[in-house]
Amino acid sequence: MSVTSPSSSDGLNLQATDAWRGWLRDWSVAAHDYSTLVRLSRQGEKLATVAEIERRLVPVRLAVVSTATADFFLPILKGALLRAGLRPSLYVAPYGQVTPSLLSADGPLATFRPQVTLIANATAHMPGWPSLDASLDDVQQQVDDVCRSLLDPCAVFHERTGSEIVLDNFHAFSWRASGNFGAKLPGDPTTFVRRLNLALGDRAPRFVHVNDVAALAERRGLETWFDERYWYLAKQAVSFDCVPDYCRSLASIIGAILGRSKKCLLLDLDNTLWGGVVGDDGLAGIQIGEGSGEGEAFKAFQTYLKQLKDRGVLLAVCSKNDDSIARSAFTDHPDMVLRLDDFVVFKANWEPKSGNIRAIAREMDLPLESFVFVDDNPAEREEVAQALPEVTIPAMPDDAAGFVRALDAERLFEVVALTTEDLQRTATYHARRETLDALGGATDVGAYLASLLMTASVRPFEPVSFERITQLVNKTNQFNLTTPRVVPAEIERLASDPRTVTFSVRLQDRFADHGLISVFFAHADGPALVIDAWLMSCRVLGRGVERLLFNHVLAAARERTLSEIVGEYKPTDRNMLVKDHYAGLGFTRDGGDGTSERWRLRVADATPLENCIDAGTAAREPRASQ
Amino acid sequence: MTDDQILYRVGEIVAETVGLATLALTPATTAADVEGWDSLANVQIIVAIEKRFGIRFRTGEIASIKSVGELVARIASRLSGPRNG
Repeated sequence: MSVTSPSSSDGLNLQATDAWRGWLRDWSVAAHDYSTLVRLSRQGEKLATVAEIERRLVPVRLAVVSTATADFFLPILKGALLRAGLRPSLYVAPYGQVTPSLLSADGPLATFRPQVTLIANATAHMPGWPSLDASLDDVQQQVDDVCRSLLDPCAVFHERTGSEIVLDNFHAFSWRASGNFGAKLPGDPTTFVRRLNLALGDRAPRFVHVNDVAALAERRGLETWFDERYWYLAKQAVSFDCVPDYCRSLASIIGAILGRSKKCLLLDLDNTLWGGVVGDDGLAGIQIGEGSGEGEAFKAFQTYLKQLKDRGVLLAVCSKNDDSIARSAFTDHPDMVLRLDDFVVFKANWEPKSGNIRAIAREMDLPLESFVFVDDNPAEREEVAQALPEVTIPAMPDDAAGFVRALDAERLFEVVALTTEDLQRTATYHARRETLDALGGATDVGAYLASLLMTASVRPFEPVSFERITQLVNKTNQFNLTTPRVVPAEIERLASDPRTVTFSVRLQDRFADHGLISVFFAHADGPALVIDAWLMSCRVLGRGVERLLFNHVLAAARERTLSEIVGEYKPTDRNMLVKDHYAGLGFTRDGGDGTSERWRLRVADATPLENCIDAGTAAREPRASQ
Repeated sequence: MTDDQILYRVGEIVAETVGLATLALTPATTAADVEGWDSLANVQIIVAIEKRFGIRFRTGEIASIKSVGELVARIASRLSGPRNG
């Protein structure tokens, strides 16, 4: 993790790095008001122009079209995106020009070619309200019309540009002329908004991501969310008090689209997962489960954590404790919701937590930026914050009853799609551990690999896998030769382009189905096959998957009667692992500079490489499309 | 809080909003005198003043304030007087 020890000794760079770390902390240290965040955003933008910082951020071309004023939330959105590790370049469409901007084939919005387009909706500019006496059928028709007026232009625009779209849904107002009777009145505005939001969620296609403004407004309260004064004066759709909530939500969705969501949650134990200190109070003395209010609060927190785990967030323990006592709490206490196998790593010892977190990051092959650390003790949070500012550390309240809310409010684990791999992630990591253990016992690597009984399926990009492919491309930093970043539409385009060669690899062994773990794409250029991307999940490092894949690449080059294969290695501070990748496959270095190396292989000289993976009896086929 | 103290804090808020390190305001200063104090910044300044002083202006007032002196006077009356809408 070179970000913690900058490789450059240049004093200026170190200074910039320190300033950036300071900025990240300042942004998150408290719930700042709107004006403070505007100032911090301005600072952050300036810091992010320093090359040393800029290259750590993922660039994103973001367009904003809005039915209300965008100027007031844009500065905060920029800051929130920087905090999420993204560096936006922005295009803002003229005020109110949503549908014309989206539909114009050669207008400035399409020409900008955004990766992500935000459609910011003001409820007060609803495309059309039903009349109060409308029948249920009329209202259904109205819901249908409004949905289509919002979603049809999105589909046209996505088709044309490939842009992912983030769409605000609508909030109700705090007043209601028809009072409680409105609940039975289809034409009541509040009832209509509820129906419309449900329909939008149901009908939004894969590339439209709903920013659930209704839920954000409910959380803060409708009276707080909408300030009539600034709507009348400045067409500001969200009150200034709530702009930070709105922007945090947007940044988390955009971050998730670009694969920047957090992956692993590090948990303290005593007074974080249960009340009391298990080493002092004993198993019978800790507070967890029914029987006391505090015990119920901790149980609720564990239940929330289990829900996170069930949808793909990895949980790990990082606690100052005696290992066997800490483990006994999970194996022997009947009221514990989380169990040992819910954690992918369990570190209970007396070392400083920052060191343990570094070790966990190494063990899991994840960058420090993917970790969130939850601890009730402010001193422990501070120790980690100072040593590892890349780790996100929510400020937890001093009352366990507030833990769920505090963690959830950070919106750190946003997803834009749930893949089978997400749902099985913890199991996959456990299997990886078992194979590491098996490797410990084996004396011969070849024999060990053979003992894994690996089977693989190597397939061109297929619709059923587009989302997983995009996800893997965007989140893989280590085994990644060129570190491209893509949206699903680009994957779709590659799949249909006759000039390209695409492969995705699924792997299983006797311990686990690892799912789709490697991605390759290349294009034919004259007599050469030029490799644009080659990447693999580190979970299956050292299995020989790259040798198997090479054989498919070689076969594809021969099939197209190409005479040469050209590979590129673009060094980053994360992908040192693959600097000898092409050398290992028999390529010869042919020029390039510090930012890009070129490698070549004559097809006539190449022979298939041995490996221990059975690709003949293809592993479980992906499920049928749609 | 005296008018001078209010003036000083308003100066801080305006400087923060338009992105200046320091800014000397007098009661006679108008938005046109300060670079960057446009209609957008004006709303942001009012928002910051409401938050930092814990007060709330009427809709009509927000658009009608013409000078820093007028702004200070309205803040002072909010802070001292009975609660206004």
